Amino acid sequence: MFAKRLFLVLLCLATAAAPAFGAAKDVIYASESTPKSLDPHDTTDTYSGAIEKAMLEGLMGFDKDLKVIPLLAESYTFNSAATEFTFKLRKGIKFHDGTPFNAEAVRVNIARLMGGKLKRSSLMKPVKELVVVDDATVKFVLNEPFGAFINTVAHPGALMLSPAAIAKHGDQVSKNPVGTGPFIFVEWVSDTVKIKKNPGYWRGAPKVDSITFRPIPESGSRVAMLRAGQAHYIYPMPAEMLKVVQADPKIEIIERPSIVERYLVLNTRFAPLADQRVRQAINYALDKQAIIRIAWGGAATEADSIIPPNLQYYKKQSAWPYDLAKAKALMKEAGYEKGFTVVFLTPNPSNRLRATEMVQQQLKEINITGDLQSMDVASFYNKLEANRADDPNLMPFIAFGGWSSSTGDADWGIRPLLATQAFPPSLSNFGFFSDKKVDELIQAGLVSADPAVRREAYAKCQDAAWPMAPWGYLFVDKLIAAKSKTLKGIYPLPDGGFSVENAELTD
Amino acid sequence: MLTYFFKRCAAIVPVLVVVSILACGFVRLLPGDPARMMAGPDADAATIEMLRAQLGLDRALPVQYVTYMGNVLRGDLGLSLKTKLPVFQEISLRYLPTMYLALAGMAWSVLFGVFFGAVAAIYNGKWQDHTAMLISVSGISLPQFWLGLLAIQLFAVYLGWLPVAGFTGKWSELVLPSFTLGATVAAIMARFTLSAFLDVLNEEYISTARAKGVPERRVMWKHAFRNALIPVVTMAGLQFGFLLGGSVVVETVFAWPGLGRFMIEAVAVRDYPVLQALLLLYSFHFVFINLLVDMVYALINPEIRFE
Repeated sequence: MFAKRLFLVLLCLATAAAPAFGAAKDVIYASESTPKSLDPHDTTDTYSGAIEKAMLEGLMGFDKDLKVIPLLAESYTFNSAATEFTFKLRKGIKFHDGTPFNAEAVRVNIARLMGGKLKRSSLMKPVKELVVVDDATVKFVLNEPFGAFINTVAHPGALMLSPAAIAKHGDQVSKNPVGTGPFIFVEWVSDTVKIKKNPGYWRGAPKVDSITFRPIPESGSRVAMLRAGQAHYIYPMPAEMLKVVQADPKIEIIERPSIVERYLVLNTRFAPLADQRVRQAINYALDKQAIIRIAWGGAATEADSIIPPNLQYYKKQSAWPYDLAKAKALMKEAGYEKGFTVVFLTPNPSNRLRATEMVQQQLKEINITGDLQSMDVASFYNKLEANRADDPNLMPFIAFGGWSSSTGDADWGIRPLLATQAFPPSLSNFGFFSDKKVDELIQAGLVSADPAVRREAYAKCQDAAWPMAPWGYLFVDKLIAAKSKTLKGIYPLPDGGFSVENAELTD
Repeated sequence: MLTYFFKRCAAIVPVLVVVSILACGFVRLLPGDPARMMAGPDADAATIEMLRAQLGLDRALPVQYVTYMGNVLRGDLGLSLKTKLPVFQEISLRYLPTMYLALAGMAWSVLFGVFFGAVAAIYNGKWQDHTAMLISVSGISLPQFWLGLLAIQLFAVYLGWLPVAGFTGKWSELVLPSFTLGATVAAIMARFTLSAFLDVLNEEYISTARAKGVPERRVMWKHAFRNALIPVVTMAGLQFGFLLGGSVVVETVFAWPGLGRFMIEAVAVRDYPVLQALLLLYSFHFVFINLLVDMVYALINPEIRFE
């Protein structure tokens, strides 16, 4: 009797609960990475930054092709010297906790960054002061011209947190982010982050109730999650498993270009590699297509400039064909027909190791030989950054490098890697490439914020640097994600992040 | 026995002090700079310097150690360099999932391992022996990631009975990872039980028991099995110590939010406070489990006494 009654109660509960359960639209996002921080001012990895962007917004932002668009700012103006940038703020927007978004909120956020204690404080290094003009206008005054400043403001490191949340949580705001964006923070437990929709979002409420970000580090398991219907979206989709997934009628593959460029760092302080002809020979000797196909599973396109196509002010250059005869001729001309010995360095993720092994094999054809050393990322940086330009015993190395310009602008794609000022330890010019003309053109791109002026400077800069072959050019990654066909509106962004704002689940 | 227990507990402290010094030194011997890893791939020198000072990494190693131990004694394990969250909190979050996995994995392995081992010993040389050992050798030889992915394909993707990966508090999520983890250990346990059992069967007291007409079943269970268990328990304790450290492979394949993966991620970014705390925890596990194993000996064989 009791059992029967219990059964009936349970049945009622189940039927009552069922519709509510069916209606809740929770999207499961399975990623390779784990979140490291949800405090935008203290975040340096793309994955954490992308989750933050679902909850928080900046004055400026990026669209799906990485073009800068106004977000919390309505419009902006700048002076011709590129030292003053004035932003008109959108009115009537509130943070998730009810705090109004206004000039004061911007001031608190920028002051926090300028305090110099956070990992993204360096973004505000060019800023002398932030002037609050009125409740809906702010003006950044810079120390010196910095033409790429609009992109700095659009950078995820400059997202706006609620001043009330900053005051309340201090450093722990990372576990309590409050913004103005389409989603509201729910929880971050262990490695899983959950966010729910913001019904009052100023651009219209999202169409899904919540999104759960779950890290599934092993790619085979990630694919299995999607195939078993236990995840709606996976990124990255491993290229080697594409065939299996393409055969599944419930799954759709998304391929998009990235802004991650891969190249070989050539140590130009080593006499043979200081010779431009040798560096050109290396570029002729590299069979980029083979490396893309074998080491990268085909998920890349050959590099055709020192910056990738999706970066602002990119200019296409003529391709560097695979031509062994030419490579050998150039080596002979430079007096290195018999070749020389280098050390090949690479971080140890298997695709990079494979790519570097292929480079090692291919360069053997022009008698550049040497051992390959692979190591974990921390040791790899340690090895490259320990080098100093004036060290006479500098190791003659060729290293597998990669870069993604987090501001989406040419400046941050070129200056940290090829400017003379960027020698380690200050930035990442690990090959010590130095050219006066390139330096001047990099500077020319910064002294104005006028897009026409900047475009011309960077076009000239790319035209000048490309034939000098500062690197062994390789390729630009393609991003591959996979999703259930019931999910629409989520896509990977060129920086390796993603956009979930327009997510929609259909039955 | 209680006095003995407390004496042994007190002896753990000096072991941990030595381990703490080694841990502090070893993690810093690794090439690579935590400040660099925290600052991100596109950081400038100023940001890295700022972080190094903030994290206290610019101070002399002994100073860092003394500061660290002072805090540990006050119950403060510090903040994770990576997430800036308290290390204690980060480890506690992952401790239970690893504990569940270790216990369930251990249960599988003791159940199957001891059973197969005993069967193989009792039917030594017969087909039962060969079958049991074939299974256990396969268990040792199958790589965990392969077994795990295969189990996922079958039970989660094709049959749809179980979740693929992750742990959100449902018991069904424990089945595949614990089975995968248990399979390897079960195989080790089976081999161990077999050899221990066979050793005991060659002892003179077994011949004596048989000679005086004790029924075979009683010889096996009362005389042989109990004595064969002693090395098996030692082995089980050791294995459990390893499992409590979190299996990196199983936790990665099944996206298990446990200590093994946490450790690997901490190594990758050189998260010193996390690594030091984990090394201390692991050492504590081993010392403590060894102590428990010694206690269990007494239960199995009251002849064993403690001084």
